[in-house]
Amino acid sequence: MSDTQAIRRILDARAAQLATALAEDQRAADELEVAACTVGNERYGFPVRYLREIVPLPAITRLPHSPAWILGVAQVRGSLLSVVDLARLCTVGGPSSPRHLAVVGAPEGPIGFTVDDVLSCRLVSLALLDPEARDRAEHRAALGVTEDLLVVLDIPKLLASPELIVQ
Amino acid sequence: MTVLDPEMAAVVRQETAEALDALLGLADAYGAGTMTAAEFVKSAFRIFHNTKGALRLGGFEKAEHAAHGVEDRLDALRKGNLEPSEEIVDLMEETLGACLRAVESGGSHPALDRVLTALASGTPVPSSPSPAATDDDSDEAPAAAPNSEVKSEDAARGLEASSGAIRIDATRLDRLMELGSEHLARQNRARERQVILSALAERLGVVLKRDAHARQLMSQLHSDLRSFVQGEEQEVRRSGQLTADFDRAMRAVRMQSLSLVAPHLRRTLSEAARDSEKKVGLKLDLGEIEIDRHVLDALREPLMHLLRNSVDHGIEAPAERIRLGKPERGEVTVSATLVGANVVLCIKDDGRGIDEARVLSKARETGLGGREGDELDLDTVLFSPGFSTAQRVTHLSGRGVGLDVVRDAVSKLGGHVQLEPPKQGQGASFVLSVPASVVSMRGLSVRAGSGTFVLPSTHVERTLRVPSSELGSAEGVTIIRMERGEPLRLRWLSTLLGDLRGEDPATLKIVVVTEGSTRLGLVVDEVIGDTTFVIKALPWNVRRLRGVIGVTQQGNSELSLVPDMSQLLRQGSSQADGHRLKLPEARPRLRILIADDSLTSRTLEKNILAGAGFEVETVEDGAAAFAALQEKQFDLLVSDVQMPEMDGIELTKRVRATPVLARLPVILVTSLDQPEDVQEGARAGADEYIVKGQFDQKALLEAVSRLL
Repeated sequence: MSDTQAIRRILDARAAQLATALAEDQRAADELEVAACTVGNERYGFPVRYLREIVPLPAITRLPHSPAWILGVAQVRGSLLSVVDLARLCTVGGPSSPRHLAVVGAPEGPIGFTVDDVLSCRLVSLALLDPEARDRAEHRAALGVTEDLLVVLDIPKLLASPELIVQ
Repeated sequence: MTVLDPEMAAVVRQETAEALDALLGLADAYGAGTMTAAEFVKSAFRIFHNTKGALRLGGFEKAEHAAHGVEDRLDALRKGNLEPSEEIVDLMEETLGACLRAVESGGSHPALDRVLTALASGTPVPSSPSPAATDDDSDEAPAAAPNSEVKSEDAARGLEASSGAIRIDATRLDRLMELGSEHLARQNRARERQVILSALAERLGVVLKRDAHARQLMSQLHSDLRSFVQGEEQEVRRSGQLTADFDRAMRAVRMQSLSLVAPHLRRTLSEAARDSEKKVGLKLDLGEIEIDRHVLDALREPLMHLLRNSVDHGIEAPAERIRLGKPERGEVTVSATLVGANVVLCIKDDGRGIDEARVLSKARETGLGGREGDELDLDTVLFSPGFSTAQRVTHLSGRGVGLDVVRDAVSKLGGHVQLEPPKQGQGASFVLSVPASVVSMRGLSVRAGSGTFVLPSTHVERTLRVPSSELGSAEGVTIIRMERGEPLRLRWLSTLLGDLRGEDPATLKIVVVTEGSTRLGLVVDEVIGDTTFVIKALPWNVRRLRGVIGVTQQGNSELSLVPDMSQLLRQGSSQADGHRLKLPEARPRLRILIADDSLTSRTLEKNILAGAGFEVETVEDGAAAFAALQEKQFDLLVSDVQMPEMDGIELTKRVRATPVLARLPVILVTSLDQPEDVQEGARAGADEYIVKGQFDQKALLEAVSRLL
């Protein structure tokens, strides 16, 4: 009898602990870790949660009869993925010379977006993002823009772009 | 009704589906006379009894009630030693089909209500007493199952019953296959490196011959290197054999019996027959053929599609069949044979067949058949996507629903499907050929434009090297003459795949590809060589890519595309080489007027332009041209310079001076090549000037495409 009560007490204490840890996580959820990259004249932030890796641009095999922003397919660590020209997809101004590939994990499989240079990883606060800027064409798949004009990408929205599908 | 446990519902669904398959198998055996009435009734009774139990456990009361109703009928037949009538056999199939649909849709379905009404009204009554009234040893239900039934039911469950077989999780098998393909790619790379190594040794040998001082120092090094290279050669050879053995063993693991597809085919046929209120039997002759799991899965859909097609459009209604003196019950036969590494499946029905003339005339009417006067090929029309969606065509001709879907699925497997030449009143038969295994395929690696491609060997006939001076032209199409003088149409692989065509070298490299009776010469930049390859599906976001079925990794890190050979062959035989303007098919065709007093020039130009998809009219001089331009709408004028009545320069001036025609693009074609003439033409307002001495198809089409 007393054993059961002791066990119950321990379990309750653990449950309380777990619940606190969760609350702390929720507070941190306002901050998002992003990898900042340049693309033409813009700077884009990829939430690292969705990012598998950023690799030097691999050899790309062109696909016939596909839109201009689909550069082709490439192999990254044994997986075949499409390479999307982010500058062209988001109609970014200024010359873009892709040197890296940001590999994003979509539910269906990986997909790569070209970027010029990788700047840094940093934390951005969602509360401080300016959502107004989302109306601009080059920000169409954005959560918002930071004060220093980093466009934080909304990856699920980007992945849902009908332009990504070739059929 | 009780709330259903989804897991339970899935089990009941499975059991009901298996019961239906078993019943269809029994009905076939009974219909074919390989089972007596008593055996049939007994086994069917057991099926219904067990299914009733499963339905009750799952909480499907209505369905249970229906199964119970049939069980009662069967019991009466059994007790009275009666032979089941055809109606009751149909009712049995219908009941289980309805139960299955009800289980799938949560407990009720209109089909189930129909069955329940039929059962309640007590329509189908047992017919004549069985002539072979025999023993009835077990009154207990469920009765012991006769052997024949166990077989048909267990086929779907795999090989568990036989000793030495195990079940393997499909994902593990896939992983093993991935590793195998990786291994294969590595093997190709090793071979490349070995070639490089022996070239290095060769170079060292050349250096040694030149320099006497170095010789002494390095000759030992050289001989060491040589023996290393020899050892390496052996190593690569051995590892190559090992890879090949591994590949074969891997394929064997993935092989499954083709007969596993039988229950699905039976079910499809019986559903289709019921839906269209026809009587149809299925005859299966699948032999002992084994086929890759992936191919088997991918074949289900196309096979089911073809079966449904046969029932819907091939087999006539019972009354019509009787009127035609055919047996009331139609028959669809699916047979399979192994031809080399390919499985050839034939789907044949004894229905009304395909009315070729009607299909073709309908296709012409709807603009699917290409240009007038073009030879139309029934195969091409039936399998073209537009044909299947054109409802009225389908209904009138009675064929063609989604056959392009069948072709696409089969193409993806590296196979092809075609219609056997129809014979009047003999039904229709489709022949489908797929590789038994797709783990690795043989292919020819080629370079064209900016990429490398692997052409599956199934479609490659041979390679040729032809001096570009031997290129000819027939009806606006580039050709070469083969040994016996027969023409071979040429297409540049790069342009077929939407890439730019480079400058042609003095000697063209041509890969001759075939499918059925269609033959095409693909011009490539380089033939790299034979290769073994493993095809990978395109990434998820590329759902469908015209002309490409997949990607493969060759020795180096470069990826090669695997073209859809059927698509290339179709595309290659239907459009002018790469110069065809990108016009959506739906848009009205552009109209071009040709003015030339020479019949030869006129015909040549007309053929080239019509071949590229334009609507062309011709006149013999400038005056006639001007009259035609004022009378009808044209999008472009191609005119000779020297003509009677009114010459090309004058015609151009008049065109430019006429407000409604002022913007009409004009191309002047002439045998004169004096610079003054070009200048005069330009002053008159011509947009392009082509000199006949250098006149060719490419120049004309390029000029046209610049202007339109």
